[in-house]
Amino acid sequence: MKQNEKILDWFEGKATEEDVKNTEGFEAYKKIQLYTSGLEVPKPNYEKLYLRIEKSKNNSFMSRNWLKIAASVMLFIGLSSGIYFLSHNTFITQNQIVEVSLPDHSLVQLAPNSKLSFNSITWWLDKRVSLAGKAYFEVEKGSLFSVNTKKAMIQVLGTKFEINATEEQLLVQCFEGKVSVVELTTGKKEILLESEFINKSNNTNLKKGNIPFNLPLWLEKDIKLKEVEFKAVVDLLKQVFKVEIDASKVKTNKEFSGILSTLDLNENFETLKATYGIKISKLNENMYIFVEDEME
Amino acid sequence: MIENQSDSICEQNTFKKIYNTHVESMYHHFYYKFGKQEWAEDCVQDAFIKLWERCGDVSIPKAKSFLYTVANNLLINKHHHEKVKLRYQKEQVFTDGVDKDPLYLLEEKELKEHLLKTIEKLKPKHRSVFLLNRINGKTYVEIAEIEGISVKAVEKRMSLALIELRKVIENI
Repeated sequence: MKQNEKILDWFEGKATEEDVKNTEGFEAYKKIQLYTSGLEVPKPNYEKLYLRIEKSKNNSFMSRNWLKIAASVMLFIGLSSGIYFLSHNTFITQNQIVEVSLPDHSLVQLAPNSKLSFNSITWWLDKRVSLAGKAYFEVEKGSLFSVNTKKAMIQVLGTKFEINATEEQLLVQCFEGKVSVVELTTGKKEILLESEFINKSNNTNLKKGNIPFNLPLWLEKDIKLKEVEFKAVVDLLKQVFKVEIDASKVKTNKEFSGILSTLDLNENFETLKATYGIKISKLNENMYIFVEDEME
Repeated sequence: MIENQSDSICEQNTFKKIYNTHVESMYHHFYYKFGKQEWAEDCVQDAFIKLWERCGDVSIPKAKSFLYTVANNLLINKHHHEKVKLRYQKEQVFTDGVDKDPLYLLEEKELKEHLLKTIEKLKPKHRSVFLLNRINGKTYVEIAEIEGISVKAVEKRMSLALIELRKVIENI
């Protein structure tokens, strides 16, 4: 059955009855047109339907937002714990010295067999490092942070200092500036000034004294001494090079000011010979004797 | 970007206005396809909820096509069709008032019943196009937009629907 296109136009209202009057099957189309013009379908209550939409609109808005909030909270927890753990820096040394840079560009020389940790993100809220073992800090001027050890909290006020914190003892040496040491058990606070040290071990009382040198001995750098008694210089050598020195024959009141090496014992001997006019003899592998050179 | 809050679909009054403008043809479209009132209402509701959820992204001129696109996607998921219930408006008089003999009236009644039955049996896509034109008075361009198809396809469907109905009329 073919159909004239005009019929379609007529149904759309674009052609008049006159236009299609003579088309094939017009009588039938006219009946279709007539008897479908009064049709209607069951009418819903559009206002009620709108209220239904309103209601689920709010529900979906709520659930959508709850989901968003829940998702953000989860994301926040995930990210922050991730960042916290990722930004948690721990340095453990075995038999070498490691240089560690703190977030504020302060430098830490970490001695062998020591452990240092800090968090680089929370650093800006809580400037805190934890130390077990020995470390030398060179802190930028104006930096303020604290070092937590087993026995004490050491507050830093822009300085150079060394901490040696083990299970048994605590040694803090301040080479420049000022540090405060708070004992955790007693809450007692000590302020160390330049060239002062504090020593506390399990079975001795707190000992405070002066340091005759300007850098930790274990850093393998030359140290500078200023007006140090001869006997103290000898003790220092004994300690650094782990040797026995018999200096009982040398009687001098002259104080030593100068540079000593922490690596080369013979170099130091040359320095001492020149300063004090002494003779040094090696008795065996680890033993030396100092005598006054009578030739001088 | 300048955002005028009162011109956003997210705004209550604008949303209601869009609802009032489009709800009837949307509802009818669904109804012609399903023949089931509840489903048609559910689909209308779903489409407007989708519009609400995306109210920030859809501009007002785009709201119409957004609604119909969503609606047609919803249709794809519904395969079962029920009988479309059609009826004549009350006190509709088709005769010119001249010829009122009982035989004619009986024939007319029979014709109407046959017509409705045939419409109900039409393929949903043919029925939907036909009724959008006959009941809602939509042009083929408007129907094409509602159905998400081309105008050519609308004309084809309309034509097929008319041929089906003509067969019935001529065979009585």
